[in-house]
Amino acid sequence: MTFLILACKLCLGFTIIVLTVYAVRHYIFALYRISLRKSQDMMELVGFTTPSVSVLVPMHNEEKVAAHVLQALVDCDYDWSRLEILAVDDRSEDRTGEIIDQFALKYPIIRAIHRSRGNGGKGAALRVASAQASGEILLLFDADYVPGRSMIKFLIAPFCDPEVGAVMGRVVPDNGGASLLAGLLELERSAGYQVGQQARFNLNLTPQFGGTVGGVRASVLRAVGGWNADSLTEDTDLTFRLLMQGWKVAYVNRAECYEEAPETWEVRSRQIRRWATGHTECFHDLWKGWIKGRFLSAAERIDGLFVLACYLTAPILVLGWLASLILFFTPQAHRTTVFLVALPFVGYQLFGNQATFLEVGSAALLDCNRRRILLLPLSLLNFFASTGAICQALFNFYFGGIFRSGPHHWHKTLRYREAYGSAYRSGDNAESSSKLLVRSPNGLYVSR
Amino acid sequence: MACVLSAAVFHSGTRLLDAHNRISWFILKCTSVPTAGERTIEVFPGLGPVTVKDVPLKADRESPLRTGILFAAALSALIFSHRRFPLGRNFVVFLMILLCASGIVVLFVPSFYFDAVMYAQIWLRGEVLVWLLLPWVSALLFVLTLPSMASGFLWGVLVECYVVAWSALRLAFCLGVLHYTGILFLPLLWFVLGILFDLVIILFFYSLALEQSIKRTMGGRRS
Repeated sequence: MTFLILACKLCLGFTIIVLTVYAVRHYIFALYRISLRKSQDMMELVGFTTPSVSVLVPMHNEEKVAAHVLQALVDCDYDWSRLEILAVDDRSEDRTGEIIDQFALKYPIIRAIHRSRGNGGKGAALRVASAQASGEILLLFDADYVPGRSMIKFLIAPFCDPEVGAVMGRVVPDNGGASLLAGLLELERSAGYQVGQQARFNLNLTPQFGGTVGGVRASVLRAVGGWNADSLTEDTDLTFRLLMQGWKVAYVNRAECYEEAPETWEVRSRQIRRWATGHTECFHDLWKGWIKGRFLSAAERIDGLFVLACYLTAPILVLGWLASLILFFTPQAHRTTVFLVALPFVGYQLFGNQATFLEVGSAALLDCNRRRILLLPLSLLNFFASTGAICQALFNFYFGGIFRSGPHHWHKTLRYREAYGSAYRSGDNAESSSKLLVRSPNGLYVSR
Repeated sequence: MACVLSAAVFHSGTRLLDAHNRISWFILKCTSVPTAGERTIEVFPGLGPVTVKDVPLKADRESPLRTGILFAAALSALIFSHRRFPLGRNFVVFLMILLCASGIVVLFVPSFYFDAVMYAQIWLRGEVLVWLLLPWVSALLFVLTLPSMASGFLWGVLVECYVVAWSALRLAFCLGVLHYTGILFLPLLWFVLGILFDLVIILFFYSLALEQSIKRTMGGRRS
């Protein structure tokens, strides 16, 4: 019993230390953003010649959304003589290839790429598309995203700084009202971008290139070895390789792009398990090189490790919960220094757990998101659900033989957007898609 | 300010705990839960001893059939919730683990002893710390974050009062459940209605405060 109590105390102590450090990081970001409301996204563009741009859109069974993204990209106000759109149909079994071909026929700036062999997965599709792209800058959009008219210009602007290797825009779910989960994810995304990414960019830490609504210099991509087709999170992998080579990653909060957030827990669970596995894979692959990286400041190194190891906090948290339960219901554990044992536990429960919610609240204040913020207490459900899914993914990662096993395949997120697919089937042409997307006064598309 | 509030809570801790316990007893009395005398317990050194009422527990081990039925009913309810509410699945799984662990202890570890006074002592230890730390949490969530510092302070005080009152109600509920069902649901109750519930209350008030602030900010912009 004495050994069990000691083990539980050590486990709880370790949990408290790890989570407190993460909580402090969240507090710094949130308070920084609240106290400094203006983001540092103004830059000197005089004399900056707009570069040639290749937009890569990898797709796998995306008939519901393919036309939306292609139409929105065609409608962007970027000079067509400097723009090409490479729509990659990666072994789709639905009408995605057909839709892409019809757009390619209609618009000369769209090039259709059909893949039917080789490794599957987004990373592999991007490798093929990048090899065929002729632009100086490669922009990436997932198929369910609907960029606004000025999106390409927003994303290109930071590249006027020759030290910037990659740029990331802001992802905003447009279906927050579709389900409770989608509403909670809207809050979570808002915190992640409005507070987390922006603070990390402003504080010269490690803003992350997210693999969509972003761009990378073609020459830099080649220099760091291109996309890692074996990684489940090729975006995280690229971010860290870029930073280790001394390139900067810029974040542009104004470059808002709308996406479909998962509406059901099954879809979200798959998404988060993929992220957890890919992220942890990157952690194992890159942490040694990251610590030694000669272009990195001490703050960047520390923050980068936080980012890489973020999913490992879930199993640590569960261990902490179990240890605290055992300690609380073991009267022997209360005999000595009960105050000293209980204070950090309660402290971490209150302060540690509140940190992420403070980030969400700060983002809601900055965005004036009044409608969704009342859902905040229900975020605990999402928190528990995500913790379980991450634990499951990491268990499989460490004990299920997933680590470096076999070729990767598409881990596709289910799409909910109806309409265009069915409209297309009825023989309407691409123009009809504009009826389903309404352009708001700020130039951004919103699906109706 | 947080420091002053924490000091005030610590200074008036014994009186606060007495008031808290009196509310709990009143609720127990109203709901006809019997008590079996009073006992004095020490919550933390320096806070002074406080008196708590002892609530007799139904003996689990004298009626394994009744415990088994309760266990099965609770597990069925959790399984139903697991199927019905996908977003809460992992939370429910954790509760199932707690329930099963508790069931095993009740049925197979006869030496394990726990009574209502011990539970109240654990409860009060956790809650006193919450009350002590809450001014600091409020300072971060309400005073530093909200546009108006005065309203942030008011929200902080409101949350502190609410947390104390709700703690008394939750403790009374837990003691009532303990009386009627024994220690089977003890870990479950502590996990769901303990500090986690305080967190929910704080988040609830935080979201309300944010909503009101955003409403005012937006109104200001329009005008």
